[in-house]
This record gives sequence, structure tokens and C-alpha cells, in this order.
Amino acid sequence: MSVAQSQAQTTSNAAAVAVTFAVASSLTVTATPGSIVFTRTNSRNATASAAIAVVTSWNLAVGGGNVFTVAYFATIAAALTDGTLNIPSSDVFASINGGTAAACTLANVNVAAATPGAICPQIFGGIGVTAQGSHSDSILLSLTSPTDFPVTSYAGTITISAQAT
Amino acid sequence: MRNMKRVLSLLLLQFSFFALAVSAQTVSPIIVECGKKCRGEFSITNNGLTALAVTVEARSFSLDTLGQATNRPLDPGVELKLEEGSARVSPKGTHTFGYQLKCSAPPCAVALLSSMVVGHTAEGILVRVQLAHTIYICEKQKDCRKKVRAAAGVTVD
Repeated sequence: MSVAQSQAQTTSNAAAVAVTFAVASSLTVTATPGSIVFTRTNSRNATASAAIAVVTSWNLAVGGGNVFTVAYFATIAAALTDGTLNIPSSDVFASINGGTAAACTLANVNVAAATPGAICPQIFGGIGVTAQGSHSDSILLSLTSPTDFPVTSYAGTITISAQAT
Repeated sequence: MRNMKRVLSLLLLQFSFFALAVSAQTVSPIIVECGKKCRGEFSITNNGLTALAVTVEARSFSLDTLGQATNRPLDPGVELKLEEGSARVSPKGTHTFGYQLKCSAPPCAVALLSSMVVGHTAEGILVRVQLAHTIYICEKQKDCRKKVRAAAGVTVD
């Protein structure tokens, strides 16, 4: 090998590698626990075994959007039922973040809900939120009836609903 | 006796698991804009450790001046074809729902609501999580959401 050859430099073409990374907008709701039971404090009142911790997290394309989280029952007449005997949503009270408990009878907080009249006080109303964010709330349910609860086992479903507009 | 203790322990463990089950789900994307004919998809991710049954329902909605949605059954001028109305999503899994939407009298605003329940209870209250995939449909796709919100008098953007 000659000296000139050993010192020759070789260069290659620059290889371009295209890199893309697409992040879609997302909305996450975490609700804990997945179910609660009620303990009777007297014949007309009961308290939930635990507050439901609700975390609403979002990653929007741009800031300034709105994110709402609400809770509601599917029917006004039977928020809880044993199949025959019902506890109406007006007997279910919700305290949001330790605030005053109010009955789940609202009709004007309809985010993603289809049951006006069985909606609990709003959990979270984020207006003009930043592009990325998270909000933690709690909802503590209780039961209060004007008359004694008939003795039976009641069950129901509460929906935690979130929508960005 | 030992077997009985074991069975009781398992039952207690199962009860604790369901009671403490974390119901965490994600919808993506959150909002899309379309022209009069719309073909799209959205994904539901199950962030939990148990498989989830997801059901999808559709609603038309209007906005108030704060941008809050008031939902109602689908308007007559809205034609929706959902590829699936329900699915089972495995733990840590993602399922994609495809759809086609036509709006005969734009603008139309539609929410596809995905619902799922994690817990089990024979007595008390189950927690169901519902997430909205929001669709705005206009004559032209560009700035559709902005136009719908402006028409509703939404001042925050």
C-alpha cells in the first residue's frame, strides 16, 4: 500500500433519517374506589364508605379549551334500587371537595349527561384551561330520606363523565 | 378448616381488589373537526389492571356561553355509523373505535360517549367512568370548532 493511499480520506453521503413523533390529544379520568357501600347512621340517613377521588387529566392541542367533569345517575326515580324499592336521586347528596352536600337533582349541568334532574353538583369546571393539566377532586356521597328507608339491599351506578369542548 | 380460611382470605382479597380498583381510562383524540362527511376514529385506553367492557353511545349537543355541553339524542340530520358499539379492552390495552358521520344541516356537534365500569357490588354504588370524543362538523373543516363556539356565544377560547 502506498503512503498516498493509506492517508486518503473517504467521505460518505450524509444519510437523512426522518424522525416523527405525533402526540394525539387525550383526556383521562381516574376514579377511586370503583364501588362504595353505605353505612346507615339512622333509619333515614346513610354515609358512603369512602369519598370517590376523581382526577381529570388532559393534554389538549392548544390551551384555552374547556374541560368539565360531572357525576350523574341514569334515572331520577331510582338512583339506587333493589329492583322494586327505589331511592331517588333527590335522596342522594354529594359533597364536592368537602363543600356543602347538595342533592343530585341538577338539570343545568349537562356535560356529557343525558339525565337532567339526576345530576350531582359539578365536580370540575375548567374554563380556558392550559394545554396540559390535571385536577384532583373528591365526591362524598350520602343518603338522606324524608321517610325511613325500607329494609332491603339497594344498588346503583354513578357515572363520572368528562368532556372537553 | 384450613381450606375454609383460605377461601375466606381469597374472598376478602377479591372484595378488596374490586373495592379499591382504580377506574382510570383515557380517550384520544379529544376533539376533531370535520367537513360535511366525516370519517374518523378514537381510542380508549384501559389504564387499569382488569379487563373492561366499553360501550359507546352518541349524543348531539349544544354549547352554552361557558362552553358547557347540553347533550340530547342525535339530531335527525345526523347519520352515524359506528363500526362497533362496544368492545372489551384488556388491562393496559387500547381499543380503537371507527365511525362515519354525516351531517345534513351543518354545523353539527356530536359527542361519542364511552362508558366503562370497574367495580362490582351487590349493594351500594358502582362507579362508571364516561369519556367524550367530541366532533364538530361544518361545511368546511377549517376552524369548525371555533365557528360553532362563536355561534354559541362562547367567549373563552
